[in-house]
Amino acid sequence: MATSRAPIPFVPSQTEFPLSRRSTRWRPLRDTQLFVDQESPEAKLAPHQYTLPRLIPATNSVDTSERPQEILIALQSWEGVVLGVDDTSFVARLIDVAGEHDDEEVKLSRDELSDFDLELLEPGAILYWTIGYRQQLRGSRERVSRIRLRRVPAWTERQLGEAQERATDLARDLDW
Amino acid sequence: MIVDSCVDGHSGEPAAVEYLRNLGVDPAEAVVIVLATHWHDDHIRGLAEVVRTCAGSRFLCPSALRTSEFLALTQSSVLGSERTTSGVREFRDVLKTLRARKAAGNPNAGPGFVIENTIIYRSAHCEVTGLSPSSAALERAMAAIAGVLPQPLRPHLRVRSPSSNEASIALWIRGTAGVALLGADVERQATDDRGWGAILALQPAAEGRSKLVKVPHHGSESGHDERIWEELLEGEPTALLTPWSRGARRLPTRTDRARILSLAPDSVIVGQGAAKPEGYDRAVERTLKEVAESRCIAKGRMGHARARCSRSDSREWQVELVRNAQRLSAAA
Repeated sequence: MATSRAPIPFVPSQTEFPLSRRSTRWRPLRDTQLFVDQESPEAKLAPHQYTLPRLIPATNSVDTSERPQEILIALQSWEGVVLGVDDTSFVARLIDVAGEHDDEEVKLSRDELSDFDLELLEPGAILYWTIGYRQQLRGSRERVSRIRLRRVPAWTERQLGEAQERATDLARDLDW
Repeated sequence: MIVDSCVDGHSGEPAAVEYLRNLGVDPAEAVVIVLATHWHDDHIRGLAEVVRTCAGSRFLCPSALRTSEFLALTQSSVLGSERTTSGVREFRDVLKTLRARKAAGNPNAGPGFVIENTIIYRSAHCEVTGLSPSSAALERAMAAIAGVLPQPLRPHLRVRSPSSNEASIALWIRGTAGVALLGADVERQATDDRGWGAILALQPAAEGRSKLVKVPHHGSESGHDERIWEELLEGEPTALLTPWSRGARRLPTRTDRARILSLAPDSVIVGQGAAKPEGYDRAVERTLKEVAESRCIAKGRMGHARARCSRSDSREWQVELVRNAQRLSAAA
């Protein structure tokens, strides 16, 4: 399927690699298809819970007999929000997804983002940052840092109109 | 009375509520007012929980928020599920609590809105006056808020509060046991119809100056107005301040610290400042060193400074420092 950006790996449930023997944090990476960010809240849901459109295979045939050739061992994951942006860098507040570390603020170079994500960079954008190892199953491992910005829909007239209706009710109830 | 809110990074509790409980005080019974000085995340984290806990309190906030657009923003059903805190979400949850109280038959559950020269509390022992915002500041603050509200076809980003502090509420507390000025994030403005100029015109110290000040806007140069120290405060007052940081920007700066110490040698600063986060896996630490240009803890263990003065000697404040509170002279 034609796409303007590099695919983010996703493994459909029927091809998930049984990783739980070693670590539940291992996530398979494959050059299949994907339209869901692995770090997004949606990706943490069971397949039947997806709120996004169901994933569509990029190819009609997925070889389920072949084991993934590389996996990502996530050592640390944050969710964050962009607080400020300048010409060369941006500042984000990070929340440890596991809840084991204090929230922190970091200043990062714009160079850490892909061209596609740079287009999404502005104050208020939600980001996901994972640090870990990319492990070849039969070979080397490398330390990786992956920062992605959350894709968001646009506000619609309908959403804003409905919010306004609720606000009118609330204003009446509270003498706002 | 609880003014603003922050959350302890370890307990997850609003610091003010935790403090009162540690004193053996029940916030539900004892707190009569919860006041949000302005819509900035660093002043309202945990605010909804504070309001929920302080069941007998009245909620007060800046008049600049009294717009149907801001209310609609809080009622948006698509605020997102991200873990990051949001001032809008705090206000939404505050309003939910107030609405439930109103529905339960509390006629005074609605929010109160503060503008300059508003007496917001009065008892036999104490009077609290809101010193700001002035009408000119209010007009600008409302325009700034309108500028950040969501628009159709614009990305559904986390809504940011306006960067300006025009709406901020400074408080003048006059009690039988002393006078205090809480400067919030009020700044010096180009004209005296706004900011500290407008507050000074109210002459709040006509009946006596304050010996205690919460230094405005984290001790920044923009929050500094020499006239505050000359007209509202006694010489060498007890000054309390909280730090602020974003990336490499930090308040107070070295210059700010020197200025404040020259005016108030016994100043106290409370907060984690620029402490570095610790405890990550070594590989994570290595990567952070390579990737991050700067880092600091944004929500760690809270400390506090407790300022008390006796009725017999209302001119001297005794300050106790807990956890990460320290003398500014030692921190500089």
